[in-house]
Amino acid sequence: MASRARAAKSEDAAAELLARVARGSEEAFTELYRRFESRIFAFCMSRLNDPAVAADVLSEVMLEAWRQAERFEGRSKVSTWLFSIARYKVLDEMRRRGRRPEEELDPALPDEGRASAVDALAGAEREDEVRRCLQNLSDAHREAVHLAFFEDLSYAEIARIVERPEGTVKTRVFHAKQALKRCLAQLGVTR
Amino acid sequence: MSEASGPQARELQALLPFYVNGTLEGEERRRVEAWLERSPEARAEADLLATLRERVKRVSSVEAPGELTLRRTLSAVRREQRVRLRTPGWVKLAVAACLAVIVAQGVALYRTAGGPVDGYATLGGGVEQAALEVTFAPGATELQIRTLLDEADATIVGGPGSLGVYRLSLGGGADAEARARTLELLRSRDIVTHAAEVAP
Repeated sequence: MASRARAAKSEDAAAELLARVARGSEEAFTELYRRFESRIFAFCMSRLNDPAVAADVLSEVMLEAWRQAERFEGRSKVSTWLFSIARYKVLDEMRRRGRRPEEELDPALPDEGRASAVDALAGAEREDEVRRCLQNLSDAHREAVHLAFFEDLSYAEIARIVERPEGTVKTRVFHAKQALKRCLAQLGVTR
Repeated sequence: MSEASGPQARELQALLPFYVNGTLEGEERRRVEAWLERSPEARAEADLLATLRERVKRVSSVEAPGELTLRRTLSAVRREQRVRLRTPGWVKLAVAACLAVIVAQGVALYRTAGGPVDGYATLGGGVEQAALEVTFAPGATELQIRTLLDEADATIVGGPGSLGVYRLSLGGGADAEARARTLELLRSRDIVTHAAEVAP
């Protein structure tokens, strides 16, 4: 409950910052940038996996926020709004590079069951495997996992960002989790 | 999962990740809690998801690019502000009209050169001749830019991005030598602050 109250307070502060950005405050823009820089950059990295390109996209996202600030009506959280912009910019960047975003397909791997997935997850030394399995996910599944587990967003918020029905988001996270389990189990077993 | 076969159980499984990340509320939260209470397998699945969430947080944490990117973004913001403040409304309309003419000429040239005539091709995508990227000095006028593009036999096919970068297509199926000559020409002009070759 306390963390929710903190989150709500932080969201109010972000909305206030954005209102000042809409009135042309460079100081508010800098503060808004610093507040969201890490989260937007991590999101861009999860899709683009290239720090230089992700930094360019981060810059584009924040510039777009500057341009569009006066159109923000407060119907969603500022973070949700920024992630929506980020998603569009990432997709633009992928198209520009001739990469077609994959929707749902993940490489098929045999189902090795929960126990071996748990084994594979145990221990910090397995971070490389987790990273590798995340990279093996389709773009849509990796995006869903990032927003659900890194950002801790609700399925309703994710649905607004990815512009898909809530049911689709729940299904994506479920299938992504299954694919991760399979991948981790296989890596754990074959090591 | 023994009871994880019907539609209701599938729904609970789909809700579980959002219970684990702490965003599930109200009736949905109560239903998942009741399921966890009666099913050891559901609890094991929740534990797995919690571990997975923690690992995803750990591997997805990246150091943000920091001050350099902030400064670059602020420069772009200031550039836009200057243009907004300095440019009267009628000039914006005139520039838009000029750009529309340039764009229309580009499309006409592209079609004359054998581009698709039976479908509409956007300027940002599908034009395979895009070969150079260029940034103009903030004080460059539309006339100076147009004159230079005429001289270089180049057409704007994309941009400007947030950093003011335009993509140019070169006429007549320019080969590597012609692209190099055009690059040299662009770089020799004061109104060009950056010119480089990009992959088509």
